[in-house]
Amino acid sequence: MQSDQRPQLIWDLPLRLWHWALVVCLAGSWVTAEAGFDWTTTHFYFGYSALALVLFRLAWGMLGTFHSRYTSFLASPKTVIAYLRRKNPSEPARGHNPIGGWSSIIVVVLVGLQASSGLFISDDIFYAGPYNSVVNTSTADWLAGWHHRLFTLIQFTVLLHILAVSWYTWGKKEGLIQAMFHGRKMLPRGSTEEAVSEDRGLRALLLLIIAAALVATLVYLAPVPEYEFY
Amino acid sequence: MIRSTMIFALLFSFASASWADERTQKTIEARQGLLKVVAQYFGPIVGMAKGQIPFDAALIEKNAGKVAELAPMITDLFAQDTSASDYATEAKADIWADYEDFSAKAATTTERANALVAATAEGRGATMKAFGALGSSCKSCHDSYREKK
Ligand code: HEC
Ligand code: HEM
Ligand code: HEM
Repeated sequence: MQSDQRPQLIWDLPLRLWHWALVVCLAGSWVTAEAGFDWTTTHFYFGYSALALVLFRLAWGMLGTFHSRYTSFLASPKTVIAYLRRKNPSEPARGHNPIGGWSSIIVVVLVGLQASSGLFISDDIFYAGPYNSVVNTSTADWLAGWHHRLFTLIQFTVLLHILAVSWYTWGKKEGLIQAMFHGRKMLPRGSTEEAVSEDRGLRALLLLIIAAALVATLVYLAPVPEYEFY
Repeated sequence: MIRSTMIFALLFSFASASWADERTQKTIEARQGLLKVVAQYFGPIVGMAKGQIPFDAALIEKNAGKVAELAPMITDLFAQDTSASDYATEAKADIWADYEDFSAKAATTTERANALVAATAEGRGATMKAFGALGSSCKSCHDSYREKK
């Protein structure tokens, strides 16, 4: 059997780099949020980066290689149910399995909401997201409440994610985590049609630059708050 | 007779309960108003620190002076324990568990506001450093005694 399997590229390089960059941004946002007053500016930069990564991922879901595309892994509810009900451990998924596919977009949306809510909130002292002054105080407070609650939800989701991929890696020995580093999974010899043959690095770089420029523009276009003078 | 006494007693207890409630509500609103005023004077200095408006030492001196006058009022307005009330407030009950510490934090803010007034004579660098210290004194009290949103 073993000789029948050979490593084939599933996750293109941009997707892998994106994944670990997202981990860094979330960890950074968390640590800087806890570290207090002097770290809030850094918190904003991690948050902006996370937002740019979210935009990039949405674009890559349409313009990336096969297994990075939403059309390849967002399965119908029927497929998801069938997957949950399956009796025999099926063949390992090439890309995301039906659950993994949906959880990937859920995490991206959650992180997007988290970073977007940050744009509107303030600590009522010194630091404020660039769009804090365009909403009234009660809206800002409401969004700040979500900025806290959503993060708890993200922590919970990520924990579940890590448990799930660990189970697939060490329980079912499917090499999922290794695949998020080198991009390859062991697949039967014949199934080359689903392997990815290129990284599309240049295209990814271009998309990342566009995403970063969009976020930067959003931040720079923010209106200056009006202060009262007596 | 007994009946009307009971009704009277009932009405009286409602009235006194709602009177107590109104007093609590007034106090909480006054506190929040006070802190809004503090923030109003604090605001333009934030704008200067971020480079959104031009640095103006005279204005900082004036506004920091106001903050130094307002901060001691925090201790006055929080003296009444309102932790039993369900009127919307972000004030934590811990305030009244350790009112001395709470008052000390307000005093630190007063001191640092005064230090900021003094620092305006020493140029921009010293002023902004003193302003940072003032801001972290606000933060320090919020971290301990203000509910997260
Ligand atoms: C001694 C403690 C203490 C200090 C010092 C302090 N605060 Fe507060 N602040 C509070 C508490 C408690 C609340 C919540 C009040 C409530 O919700 O009833 C609050 C609320 C606020 C609010 C929201 C008011 C509202 O209801 O809209 C603002 C704005 C604010 N503080 C700004 C500041 C600034 C700026 C400073 C520093 C110059 C400062 N605070 C210093 C304890 C403090
Ligand atoms: C995905 C990215 C982000 C994550 C994971 C994140 C996480 C957090 C967390 C956990 C806190 C709470 C700290 C506490 O409880 O004391 C916080 C606070 C805060 N965040 Fe974010 N954040 C992100 C993005 C942003 C962005 C983009 C901005 C604004 C530009 C922002 C602005 C703020 C502000 C102003 C606070 C303080 C709120 C307060 O004191 O009530 N965040 N963030
Ligand atoms: C902040 C923490 C993390 C976040 C936000 C996160 C997020 C994500 C997302 C969104 C995907 C889907 C990729 C896609 O878009 O197609 C994914 C996949 C993956 N992640 Fe994470 N991740 C985190 C931490 C980790 C850690 C610590 C590990 C390893 C232990 C890990 C291993 C994996 C693996 C193996 C996959 C592929 C899953 C599959 O094959 O279906 N992740 N992650």
